[in-house]
Amino acid sequence: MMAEIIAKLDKYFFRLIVPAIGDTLAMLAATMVLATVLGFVISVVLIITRKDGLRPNRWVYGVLNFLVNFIRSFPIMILIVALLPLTRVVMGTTMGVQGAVFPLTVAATPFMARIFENAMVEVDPQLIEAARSFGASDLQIIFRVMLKEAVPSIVSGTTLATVTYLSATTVAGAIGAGGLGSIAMNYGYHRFDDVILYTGVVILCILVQLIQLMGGWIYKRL
Amino acid sequence: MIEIQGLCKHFDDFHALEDIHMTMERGKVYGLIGQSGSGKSTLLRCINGLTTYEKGSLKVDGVEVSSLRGREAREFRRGIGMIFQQFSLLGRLNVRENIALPMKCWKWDKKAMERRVDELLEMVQLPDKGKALPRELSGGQKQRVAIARALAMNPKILLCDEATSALDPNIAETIMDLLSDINRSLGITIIVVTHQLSILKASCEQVYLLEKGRLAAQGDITSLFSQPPEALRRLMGKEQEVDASWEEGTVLRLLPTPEQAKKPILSRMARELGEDFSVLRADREQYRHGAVTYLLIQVPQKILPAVENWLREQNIAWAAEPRQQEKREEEAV
Repeated sequence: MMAEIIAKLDKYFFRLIVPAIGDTLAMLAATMVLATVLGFVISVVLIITRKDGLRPNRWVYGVLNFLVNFIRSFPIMILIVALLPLTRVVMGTTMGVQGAVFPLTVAATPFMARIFENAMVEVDPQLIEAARSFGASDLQIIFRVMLKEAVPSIVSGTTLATVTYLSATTVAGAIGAGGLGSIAMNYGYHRFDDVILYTGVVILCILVQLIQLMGGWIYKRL
Repeated sequence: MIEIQGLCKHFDDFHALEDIHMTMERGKVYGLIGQSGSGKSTLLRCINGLTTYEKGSLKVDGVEVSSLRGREAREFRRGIGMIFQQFSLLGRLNVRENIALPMKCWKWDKKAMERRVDELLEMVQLPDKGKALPRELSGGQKQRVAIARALAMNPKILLCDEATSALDPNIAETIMDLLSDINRSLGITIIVVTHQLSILKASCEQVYLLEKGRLAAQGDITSLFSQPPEALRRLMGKEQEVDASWEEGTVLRLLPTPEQAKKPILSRMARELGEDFSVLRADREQYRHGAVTYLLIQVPQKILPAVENWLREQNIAWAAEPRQQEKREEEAV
């Protein structure tokens, strides 16, 4: 039994599993970086235009808020499938890491926008009033006061999002993209190969723990 | 320097401010008092343009505040410092960074900024707390940091919104002393909003009392407190109530000058008139421009003319206290 497992790992680990870890991390990193940047921009617009924001605007806030809710209401698998035609146009392919990053980013961006928005809304309105009282501009209030004060809850929210979208990459992996998800499904589940399946599971567990550790470490450093 | 005429501010149906008239001069300390919800904080925010107003005019150095937009409004606010009840410091910045924030926003040169921060820390007597985070400071120290930040841009006016309400009474006093010093040494006009009357006495010169968005009383602090008008009595509440069976006579409030107060007025009056009366209250309060003594005595009706005569001869100021009944009627109105 043990010998069998070792033999299998010896055969597949470096050829199959290590590249899959690389693919998964590449998908995750690209998705999170893009979603953080885009999500931040959306959250800033939401923060400025919300009802008690710096420049309230019902229309802009309403449309953007609806879009964020709309995208977030899709289960990730349905969203990936629904976006297939668009993914092909934008990325040129629907397969592999490249094909997965687009739908994953579309899904993660509103999620990140909400994390930024919630973190910044929590900032004490009196701090914003104080900043206005010495003549800070809207952008200065957002960057020097709200963002600055919201950093801890942004970090913990981003850690949460990273774990969520790690699992999303494995879903994407199961329907065409590479990575640990596709290895666990195609080589493990479909070929009744428990060693591969559970190796994938263990590696995912380790990745989640590492992300959480890193998030906690950064949080403590703040 | 600040001229307010017919100022009105409505939040939907709620009239926060109604027909306010005020004139404030440069370099003085003003008190704005009233119960919570009386509109005093709203009025304060109208002065630096954090809140808009619908009707009337509010001019600071001749500039109509509501006419300012965008960068003009920000430059205007730069000239008016403000401090708050909860200090409003950024928890993730240390003391120096908090004080430097306005200068950063106005893109000061780094060296000038450091120098100014040192100067301000010295002024608020926290020279060795520069690296501390706000959560490591006491309430009084936090307010000192907030004062330093408010003064960073050399404002000509300092607005204090319940700045001492979250502090212990003796700490509140030291903060007010600091504000008085700043007023004297820098000549900054200070407007103090508070519901704590004791805070005003030592530092303010002029007081405006707001009640339900209207100006209910105003005047020089010493005269206002030595002879409180109806609205001020309501605000003072129990503290000022004289619980006497007044039916027996009239209650007089004697207001001797500081010189007269040094002499034994009451015992001389009793001896010279050969009559009895009771003392209900006597107090001496320290104000910014000296102390005020007042005596409340209850005089039987039949000797009232004699007492009034004697007071007139001695040149001592007095006034009859309004009766409880009259008070109740006024409240009903």
